[in-house]
Amino acid sequence: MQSHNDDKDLIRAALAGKSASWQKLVRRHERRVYNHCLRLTGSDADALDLMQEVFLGVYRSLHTFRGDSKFSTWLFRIVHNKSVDAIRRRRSYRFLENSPDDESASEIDQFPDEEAVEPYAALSLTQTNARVLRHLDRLSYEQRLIVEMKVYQGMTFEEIGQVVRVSENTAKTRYYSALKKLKNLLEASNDMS
Amino acid sequence: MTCPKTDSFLFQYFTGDSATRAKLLKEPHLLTCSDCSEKLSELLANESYLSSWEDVSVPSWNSKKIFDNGNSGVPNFWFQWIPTAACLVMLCVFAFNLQITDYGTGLNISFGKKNLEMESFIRDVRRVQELQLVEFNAALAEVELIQTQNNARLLQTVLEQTQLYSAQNFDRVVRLFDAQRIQDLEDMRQEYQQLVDSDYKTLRSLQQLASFVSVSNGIIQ
Ligand SMILES: [Zn+2]
Repeated sequence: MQSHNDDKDLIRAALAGKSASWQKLVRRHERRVYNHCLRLTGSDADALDLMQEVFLGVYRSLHTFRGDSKFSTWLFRIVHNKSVDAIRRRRSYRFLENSPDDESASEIDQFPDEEAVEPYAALSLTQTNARVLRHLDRLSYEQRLIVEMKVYQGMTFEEIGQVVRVSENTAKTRYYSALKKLKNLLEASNDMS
Repeated sequence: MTCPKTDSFLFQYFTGDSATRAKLLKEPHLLTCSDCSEKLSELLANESYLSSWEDVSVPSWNSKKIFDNGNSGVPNFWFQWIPTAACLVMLCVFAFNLQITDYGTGLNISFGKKNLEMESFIRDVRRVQELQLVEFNAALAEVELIQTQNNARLLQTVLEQTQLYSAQNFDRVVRLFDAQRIQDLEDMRQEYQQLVDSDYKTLRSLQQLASFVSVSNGIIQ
């Protein structure tokens, strides 16, 4: 709650023209945004580009933040929109090679799987992170988005519903089915190794 | 044999908050059902596997640049309206014959009629022209006098040379000279009036131009 209020103060000061407050606000959230972008793109450079695009979007619409929800929830809505835009623009993000098995068609599932799979070993990721990414890549974008918000952003299902604009129950169902799918994937990869 | 409660139990557990999770772990059924406890540990392992992601530090980047660019790039609300306002003022100037004059102490705005200063300027020009006309007439009278004297002298010479002494001839010659003199003076007067009229037109258009320029300057400032 304290940090929620701190965010509001920083936003107010940034809107009043205080550069230092804006920088403090960015510093507070950039790590979570950057790691999200890294999980999404799998590349340092692409993640940095996407993160900068996100914060540019945040800056431009900062005056529209009403403070009804937490800033982190509001921020993730921009992250989500920018991610979808980026994926639409550049189809090279690896998870597009998945065949979605989710109950409803995702807003980007409609894109064909044209790009070749880039092995994570070629990227500057730790072994653990590369392994996690390989499994995340096998989820549909909708399942992956829910996992991202629940596991990595620590959001509640109510907040997730606000971002994705679905009911709390739909968000819960998607998360549970994502976990079950991951279990099968992990079992399969364990069998192979 | 699979437990019929497993799926709903796991759904409740993984979609519940921390308090719900803690409560479900104490469920007597979980302690006795190996199916449910086994599946629970598998999915818990999945969650912790996902959480094993090692957070990466953000490479250095300049967030201040967004702020600086944003502040210089987004034009101020009022500045955006300057071109529209300028167009509106120009429209008023042309459509309603609006005139704005700076008297030094303040601006005078008038619609559809001549500016007061303009009228007084025209009156001044007319006064100067009348004054010039009086001077011209005086000069003309002098020229007339000189011309008359010259004519008399010329007439004297002509008479002496031709030796015309008859009164009839003398009268005819004097009338001829006089008619010629009046014609010359009339021509001079007409030429002067044309000159004055053209000067007046030039002055008037110059004043209109100056007035327009001062209005435009007022808008720009
Ligand atoms: Zn059971």
